[in-house]
Amino acid sequence: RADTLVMQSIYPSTLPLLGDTGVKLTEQVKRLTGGDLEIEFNEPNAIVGGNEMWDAISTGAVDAGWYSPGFAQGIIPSAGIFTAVPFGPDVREYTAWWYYGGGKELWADITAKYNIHTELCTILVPEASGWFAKEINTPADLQGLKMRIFGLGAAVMQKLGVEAQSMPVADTMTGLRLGTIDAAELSFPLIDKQLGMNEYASEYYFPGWHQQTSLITFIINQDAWDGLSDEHQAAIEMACAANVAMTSARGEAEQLQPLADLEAAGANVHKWNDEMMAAFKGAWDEVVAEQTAADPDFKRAWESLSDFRANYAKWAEIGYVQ
Amino acid sequence: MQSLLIIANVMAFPCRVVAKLLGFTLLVLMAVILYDVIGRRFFSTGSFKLQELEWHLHGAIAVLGFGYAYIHNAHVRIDVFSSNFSDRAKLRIEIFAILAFLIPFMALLAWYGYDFALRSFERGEGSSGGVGLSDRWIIKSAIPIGAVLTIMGGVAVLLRAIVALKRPDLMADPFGGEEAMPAAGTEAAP
Amino acid sequence: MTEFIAALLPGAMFLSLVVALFSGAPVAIMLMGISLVFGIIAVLTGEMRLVQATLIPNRIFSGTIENAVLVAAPMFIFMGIIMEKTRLAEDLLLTLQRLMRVVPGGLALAVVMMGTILAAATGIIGASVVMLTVLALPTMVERGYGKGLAAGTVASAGTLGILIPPSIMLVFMGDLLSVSLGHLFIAALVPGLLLSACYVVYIVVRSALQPGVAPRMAPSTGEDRTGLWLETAKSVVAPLVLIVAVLGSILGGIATPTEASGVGVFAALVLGLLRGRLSWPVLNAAMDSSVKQLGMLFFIFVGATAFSYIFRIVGGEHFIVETARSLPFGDWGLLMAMMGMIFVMGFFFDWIEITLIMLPIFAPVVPLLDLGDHVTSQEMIYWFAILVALNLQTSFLTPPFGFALFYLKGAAGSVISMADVYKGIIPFVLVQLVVLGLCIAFPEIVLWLPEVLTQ
Ligand code: NA
Ligand code: NA
Repeated sequence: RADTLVMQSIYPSTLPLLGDTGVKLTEQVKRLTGGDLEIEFNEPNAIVGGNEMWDAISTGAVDAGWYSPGFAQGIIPSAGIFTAVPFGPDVREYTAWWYYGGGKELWADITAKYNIHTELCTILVPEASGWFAKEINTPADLQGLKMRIFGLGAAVMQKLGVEAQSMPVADTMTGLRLGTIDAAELSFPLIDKQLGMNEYASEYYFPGWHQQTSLITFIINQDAWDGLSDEHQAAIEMACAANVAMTSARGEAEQLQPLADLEAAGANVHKWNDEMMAAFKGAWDEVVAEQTAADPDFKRAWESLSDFRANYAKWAEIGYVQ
Repeated sequence: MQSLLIIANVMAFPCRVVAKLLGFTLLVLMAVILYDVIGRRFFSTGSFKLQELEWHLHGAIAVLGFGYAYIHNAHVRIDVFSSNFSDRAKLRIEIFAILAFLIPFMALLAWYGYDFALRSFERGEGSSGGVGLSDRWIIKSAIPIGAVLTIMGGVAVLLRAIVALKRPDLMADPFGGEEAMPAAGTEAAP
Repeated sequence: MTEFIAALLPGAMFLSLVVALFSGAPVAIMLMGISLVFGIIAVLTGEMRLVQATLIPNRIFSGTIENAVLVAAPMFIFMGIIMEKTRLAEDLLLTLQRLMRVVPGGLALAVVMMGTILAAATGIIGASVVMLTVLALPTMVERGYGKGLAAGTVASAGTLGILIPPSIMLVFMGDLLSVSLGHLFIAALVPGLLLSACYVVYIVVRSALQPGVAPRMAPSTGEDRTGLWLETAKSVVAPLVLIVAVLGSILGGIATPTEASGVGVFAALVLGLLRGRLSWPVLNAAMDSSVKQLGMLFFIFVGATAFSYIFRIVGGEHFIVETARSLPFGDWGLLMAMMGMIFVMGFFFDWIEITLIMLPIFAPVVPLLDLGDHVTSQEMIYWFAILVALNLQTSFLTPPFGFALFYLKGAAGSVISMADVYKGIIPFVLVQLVVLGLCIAFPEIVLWLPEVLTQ
């Protein structure tokens, strides 16, 4: 009889890159183990909602999760560093830090007390900065703007006078169309196109400074992980590593057509000007200062990443054609 | 038997007090929504925390009123067949349901819910990025507290049902009659 | 031996629930009790680890408390009860009935109208059914309407909200299918209004053929005409203000649909004050009654979340999923089989379980369906989603376990019996099926409006 791990997903299986890669993991693991290990993919909320997944897997009530650590930020403030760092590294640099710069070990250390084992299992290209009802040309345009955005990005936006909004998805969409809110941050073109975001707002801003890279992880209760045979653990590790390589390629390749489609449907694609980027960066520096002061783990993670990036900068500069 | 009725009233008392508070919470929830809506539209007041407060208040109203609803027999029943049962049979079924189902289930919920809220407290759980409300353990505690109140409401009904079964002269219907439901105070309105 | 028991668990669990529910004890307690009993059996047979039971608080928290959309439930129910206690609702209904005196079944039509308007403001079934019940059911019964017709009208009008946008169910489906929510909302509009129109037709025909179930108002004499118009104006203005407050604040971009519920409460309080009917005891009674109704509503939520969780663990879905995967039909046959399965599941499960179990299985199959010129492949997923939504809306109404029926009975108390509810709802379920059939036969009903609007 095959071993089965029950996995709750935070993204639906139909969502490209974010969700379908979780299904891919289950298929790969099944093939690699000759059907000996099955991972059961459960759609969002089927067993438990996203914000409760960390707790559920920590107690062992659910074996495993298809998860972005950022959803645990309410419990682990530093989780933001392990999901999406504003003005953070790109896919190459991030994976370099995660696998060979101490990132993985640091996260394992921070999360040890929750009894959860993490495998990086998908890595995503930059998101868009969001959909806005009007053009934003100077930081003053952000004053009083009502935007649906979460986490560290929301903290940065609030510094610039944006009123961050927490509202359900349905209210976000209708609210954006009816003018109840002025902006919303969703995802990258591939998914924004699929969700028809151009039907709600027309000004589409890049780059998504708040989320240059996003991580999706396979998390598993430590006891469940320890209970797996060495072969089964290896199968999951290999499938996840392959997933990371494949998604970093696929994420780059699949944005072009949706972006063209969105533009054809009337979306105006903008790049933030230098003044705006400087304002975002300035606000982010303030947020980092606050977060590092408030949480020792955030400080540790931020310093590890910053040190790595300082060293890496030299290599990036001489190694690549600019 | 009289003492059982007195204990029943003691058990029902916290349910009544909480229900009263929940009634006012409805007004508070309305006020928070209005303040949020007007502030966002006309005065640029921040609303992330208010929006989270809205579901906190809703959540408290949602899980703290089960016991009170039970004392007042507000819970749905499918009476298609049971309307033909004798009164004594109905009382026996009710007593069984409370003893075998309601109290053990709610005891588990209180126990697990306590652990659930405690974990949240120990981890200092708040909202993501610190932009919303902190201290999630407060609203999470509503689950075990709600379960305890439900047990109290259940025990009150149970004791009355026992009296109704043994001494129908003292009380015929565990849910009916002013002597069984004193101090509700709010039933007078049209 | 334990494997044998395990295989029987889903069926046994379901049958036990049926017996337990008909015992006449509270539905929510029976849902909890059956979950408890089968949870224990599942632990003893090794189907479940004890630690899995600790997830119940998490499920209650993420499904009921930390669910910002549900904030509309306490507010709309409170609003409805304020309207009832200040007799604003009764005024409105009777005035509408008076205005529609020439049409048979005027009071029932007024309820359908109110349900349709309410549907445009909320999508929480429990909230709108409870609200309409307290508003209209006692008045209808008092005026001599057949209890079945009254219950059927209220329950079906109260469930329109799940179809007419904004709708939490469509949000859920849009998310699971990863399709445009706006497109889905627009596609649901015409079928939703069509359904409402079909209820109207049914009520008019039934009341005309069988005047005893929907007594007409006595014709007014000449002398009270001016008084009537004044009264009419007064009682129509009040609800109009309410509608403007709720829908206007949404469409004006001031409040989200969820927040509009709070605006509605405020408007109801102000109206009650203006008409001099909102005294302290009345407000107190409204708060007290709302707390009871909400306790009733969310007690079922808690019972249902426990039941569906344990049912899942003992393998209740497995059988359904396997059957769905092995259907040996052609394209039309497959579509009909999927619709049939969803309909049958609707007798027993809530829409959340059905969408979670079935949609991910059906989703990959749907775009591959080849129905010739009937529906193009890019429109297929939207058409299918609306068909599923219509079908699921029916699941709220199907006896014995339609949740709308529970909420209605809970809110109505002893005014009607469950048997009245069961009898009364059947014709409305048939109307639902007719509309579903129309949408299958004529896909334009679903696809026309989105196409026009996106041109
Ligand atoms: Na609706
Ligand atoms: Na049903």
